[in-house]
Amino acid sequence: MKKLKNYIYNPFAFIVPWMMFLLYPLVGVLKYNYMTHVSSIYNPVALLLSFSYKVYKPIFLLFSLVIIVAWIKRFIDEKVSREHTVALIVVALTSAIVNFIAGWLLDFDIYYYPNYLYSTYGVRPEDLRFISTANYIVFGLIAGLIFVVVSRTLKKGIAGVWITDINIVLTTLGIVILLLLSLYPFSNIRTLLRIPKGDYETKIGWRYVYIESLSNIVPEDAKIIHPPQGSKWPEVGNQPIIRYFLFPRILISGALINDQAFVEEIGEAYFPYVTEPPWPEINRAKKTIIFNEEDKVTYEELETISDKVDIVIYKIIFK
Amino acid sequence: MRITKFTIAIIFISLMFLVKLYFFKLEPAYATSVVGTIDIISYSLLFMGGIIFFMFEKKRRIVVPNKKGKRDAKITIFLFAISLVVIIISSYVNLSKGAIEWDAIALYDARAKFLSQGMNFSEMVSLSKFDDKNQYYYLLYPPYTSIVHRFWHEHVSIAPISFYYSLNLILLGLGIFLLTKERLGVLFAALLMFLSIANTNIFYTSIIEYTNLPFTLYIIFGFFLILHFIESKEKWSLFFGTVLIGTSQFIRFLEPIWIAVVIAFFLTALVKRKNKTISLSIVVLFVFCALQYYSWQFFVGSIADNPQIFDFSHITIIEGILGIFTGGLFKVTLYLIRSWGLTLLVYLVSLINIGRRKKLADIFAGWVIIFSILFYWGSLYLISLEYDWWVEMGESLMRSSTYLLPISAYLLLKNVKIILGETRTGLGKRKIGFSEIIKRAFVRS
Repeated sequence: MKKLKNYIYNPFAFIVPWMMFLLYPLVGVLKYNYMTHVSSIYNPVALLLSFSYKVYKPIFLLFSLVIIVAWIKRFIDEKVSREHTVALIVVALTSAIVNFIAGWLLDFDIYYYPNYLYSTYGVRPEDLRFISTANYIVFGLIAGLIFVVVSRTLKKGIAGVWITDINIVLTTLGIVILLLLSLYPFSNIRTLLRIPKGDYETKIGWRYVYIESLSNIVPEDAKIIHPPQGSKWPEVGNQPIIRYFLFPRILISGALINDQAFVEEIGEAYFPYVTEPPWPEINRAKKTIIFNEEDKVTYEELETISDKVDIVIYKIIFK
Repeated sequence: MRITKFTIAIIFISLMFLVKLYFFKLEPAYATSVVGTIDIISYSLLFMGGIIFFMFEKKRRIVVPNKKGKRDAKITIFLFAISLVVIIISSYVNLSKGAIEWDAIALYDARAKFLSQGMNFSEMVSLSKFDDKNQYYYLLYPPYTSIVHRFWHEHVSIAPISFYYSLNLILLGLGIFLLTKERLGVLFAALLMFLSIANTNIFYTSIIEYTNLPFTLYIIFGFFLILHFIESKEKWSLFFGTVLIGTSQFIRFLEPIWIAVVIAFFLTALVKRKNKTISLSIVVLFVFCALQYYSWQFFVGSIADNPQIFDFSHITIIEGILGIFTGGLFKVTLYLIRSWGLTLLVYLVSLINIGRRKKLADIFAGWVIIFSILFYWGSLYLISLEYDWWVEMGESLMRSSTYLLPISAYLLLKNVKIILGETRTGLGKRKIGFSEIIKRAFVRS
């Protein structure tokens, strides 16, 4: 029992299993690379690797957690030695570095294509995410330990009472959460620095070409009919969005065009022919058109104007 | 100390005053109406009153609980350095953007564009005449952000409009530090600054061009000035705090947070109900905030004739009561917990021990948090009864309530100070510095 205690309270007792745990995705890589090069999965090495991969994570994680809980229990009443402090700093720093690398690797799947990481290197994204979460828990425990030790130092006369003081526990919890929530700009720095630097075309998407053409072709005192707002045409159907580019032209939602009297009041207008999904429904033979996906209205003239290949802008005269 | 608080307040009050004057120039029908006249007179009275009180009022000393150490200074410098890194990241993201966010394109920047082409706000309603979905849209948000965007586009050529939001983040950090260092001490004020500007939700509002960050700025500065008034009874602080809280409605109108602040202030004042200054100050705070609320309602409804986004009836109230028994309220509660997540836990734990606090200012802060949470809860429940899209409000809810974070963090740090025995009401008998505590805790004697 004494030997076990000596082992648990040895500063290296925490560092070693924790480092082993952090290397866990590498066992997955080893397994993946071996499996892809052997003909049978019943090969003894392959079986051993599969088994190791399954038991590796829970063993080292459990081991590390047991040790840190034991440390917390001990350091409620005793000062933390310089060696233990160094061990905790090493663990915290290594975890931070591993989290950074894990985040960087996870970005590969977004940057290239889904499953890139696993199919190229054999690294499972869920392993990296698990390690990151475990790191946050350990950060929390270390932060809690620091605060506990500080509080205990102050309340020397009533050492050990702290655990029953809900005020200290909850305040510590609040501060730890606040610190974790403050890591965002640092832990997401890669994503933040990669925020699209493109212009409105990038922001709005491929249908921006319609807005651009309308802006180039249609006179400023003219009327424009646009697709109904909704999931089919999220950008070109959204009147406030397109007005930013097309102001001061008068914009009319296609959803409102449901009777002949209304279109005759409009007189003449312009509209883009959107290909995916197609809008509006034009019948040149009968000279009818459907703007709101339901009601036909008739027109007198339909003229095609274009400034780009594949982009069609129509000028329509109703009366 | 006093001058720094005054300077921060006057910068923002003057900026809002200029924006208001510009709005008055744009909208002569509103400017010449009774409501418009009362609006600008009340603003001017509080503005001038604040300056006069600041100049002639006797300064009340509040206890400064700080002691300094070399290590404390080093930690403070470190906190400033990492805060600077946060600012640099936000600025880099904003400076390298080619396009702004969707709502900023469609509303804030679009209205700035209309303004520069000679259109005023009341005329913007007519733009949506042939829009079946967004008739209320252009006056859904008050004019502040669009006026700033217009000014920025026309007079600031060295940086894109996105950078204005990084500037807000810088001002928020500095403001929080300067407004709290008297009560928290330099080290903890620097920590509060870092925890606020690096916070996931607040930082996020600095890289999108929405109204949230300027709104948070006004609410937070107003809150800390009222806090200062409660502790020091300096009237300039009440006047300026009132202006900042009240005029935050000129930035965002959908969440009348001022109601939570007024109720919190009223309940705090109940503790000292015989104090005449406190009783009168409730009247000042309530009347000005209510006037600001009514003036925008009046402009939108009577001058611009804009359709309403929300339309609640008496049946909604009955449905609300029934919903408590049929599980509707439970669903909303779960949704709120899920949307706020860990942040809600921070709000709640910051209330710990609040009942035992002796300082009125801390009790006020606690009430603000409680009533804000109740307000969001109640509003979301009401909206859920009428509209299906209430489940899409999670992100917006998170962004609009970011002002609660610095308040909760402030209370938590005050609690830490009490625990560490550094203040008068602390548990420790002997006052020792932060560095001394670290040294005692970790270094073998």
